[in-house]
Amino acid sequence: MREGIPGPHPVTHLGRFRFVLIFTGCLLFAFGLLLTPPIQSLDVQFSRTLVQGSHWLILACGGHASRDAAILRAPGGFGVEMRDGCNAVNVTILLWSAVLAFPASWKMKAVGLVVGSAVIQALNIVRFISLFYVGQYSLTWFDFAHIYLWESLLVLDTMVVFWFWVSRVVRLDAAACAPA
Amino acid sequence: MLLLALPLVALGAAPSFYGAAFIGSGGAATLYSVSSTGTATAIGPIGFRQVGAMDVSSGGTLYGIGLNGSGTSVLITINTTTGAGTLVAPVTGGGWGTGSPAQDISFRPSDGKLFAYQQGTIYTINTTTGAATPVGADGVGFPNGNGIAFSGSTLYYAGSNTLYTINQSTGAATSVAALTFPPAFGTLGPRSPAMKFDPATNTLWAIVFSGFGSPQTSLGTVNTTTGAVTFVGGTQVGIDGLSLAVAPPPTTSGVPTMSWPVLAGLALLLAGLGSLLAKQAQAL
Repeated sequence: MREGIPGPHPVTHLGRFRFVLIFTGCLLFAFGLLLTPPIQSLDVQFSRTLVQGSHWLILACGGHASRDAAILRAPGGFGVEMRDGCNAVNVTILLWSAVLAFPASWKMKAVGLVVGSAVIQALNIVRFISLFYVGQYSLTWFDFAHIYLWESLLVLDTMVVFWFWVSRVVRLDAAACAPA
Repeated sequence: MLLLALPLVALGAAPSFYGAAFIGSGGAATLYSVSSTGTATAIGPIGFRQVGAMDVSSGGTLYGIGLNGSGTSVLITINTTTGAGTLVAPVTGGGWGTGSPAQDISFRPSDGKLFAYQQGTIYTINTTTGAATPVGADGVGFPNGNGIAFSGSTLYYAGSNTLYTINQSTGAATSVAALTFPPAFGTLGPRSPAMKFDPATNTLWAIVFSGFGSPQTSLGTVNTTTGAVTFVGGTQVGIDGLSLAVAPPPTTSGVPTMSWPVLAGLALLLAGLGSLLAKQAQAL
């Protein structure tokens, strides 16, 4: 390093290192927890609740569907099942880990956890219902929407939610630090 | 005497069916596989008597109503690989004839509710407790035939030689058309004791009996506008009120939120974005 050009501030390195460390730790802890039988049981119940909610929404909008545990079935026979890994809990864990790892007040972290989870879960219900209808129309389009379209949208959604939350945190911090 | 009850088991251009057959009133029932041409192949004994009503739930479970060893009307599930029936519960309440089986049953596609016809009255059956709730009398008595089937939201009922629709709130029957059977079905009072609708081919399938004691038994399709019944082929010989249960096709797909590689990619993206933003946030 040439003299006169300062190197990276040690505090910023610490911040990056701290984020990656906590993020990784939260991921390992949460996914480990997800594999335990009691949480697995809750996970299954959560999936069924999401299907129940989707079923209710479809009926409320005048659509036709029947529900059998975690399966939503169309009158024509096509069904979509919310199996393990379909309820967006894994994506929510990623977002939670990122929010918890980011340097922010606990109040802002709580806001990020709650609002972020709500946005992801709402989008997942839209995804589930849309796949239910797309599958009735065409299994080719179902595969495309399921494998490419919705995966991309969920990745984008998670990134945008996190980025939006961080922007809010930074703006509030800046406002708090601004001279009166 | 042979009783036959058929449920469609696969949707497509050429559907196939399950049939429950028994010989004699109260005879032991056997599950059959029945092709779309009517050819029947025995799967195995059901272990219950006079199972003359079957249908498949939206979840793919084959349900039937028959009699147990002591002659009580029971709701059962049937293993479609072995034919073995498993008791769910006795069918009781609401004036249900506990010593008689149902003539036919059909699941309503919109909400999975099980409807049953027994001796001139329409019931709904709780598939967990077996509790029968009367919807109402159909108003046409208790003729021969008596197959019922949902086609979409419409519940059809075949009384002797007339096709009706059933009001699902009152049970009242409204005539749609006279059922006309060509001579191939036989000429001794042809009637349909079992019907089921195949949504994939938009076809109402029916078992047709002609004669009594040892009736000629055939598979046919019903035109729901004109009532014309088209002969498909002969099948198991049967007698008495029978049922044909319609098939579940279930194509069920899991919808994982994202694959593990994409999830790992998202984790890396978040780690990258988070560490970058954390650095910027600290620098402020």
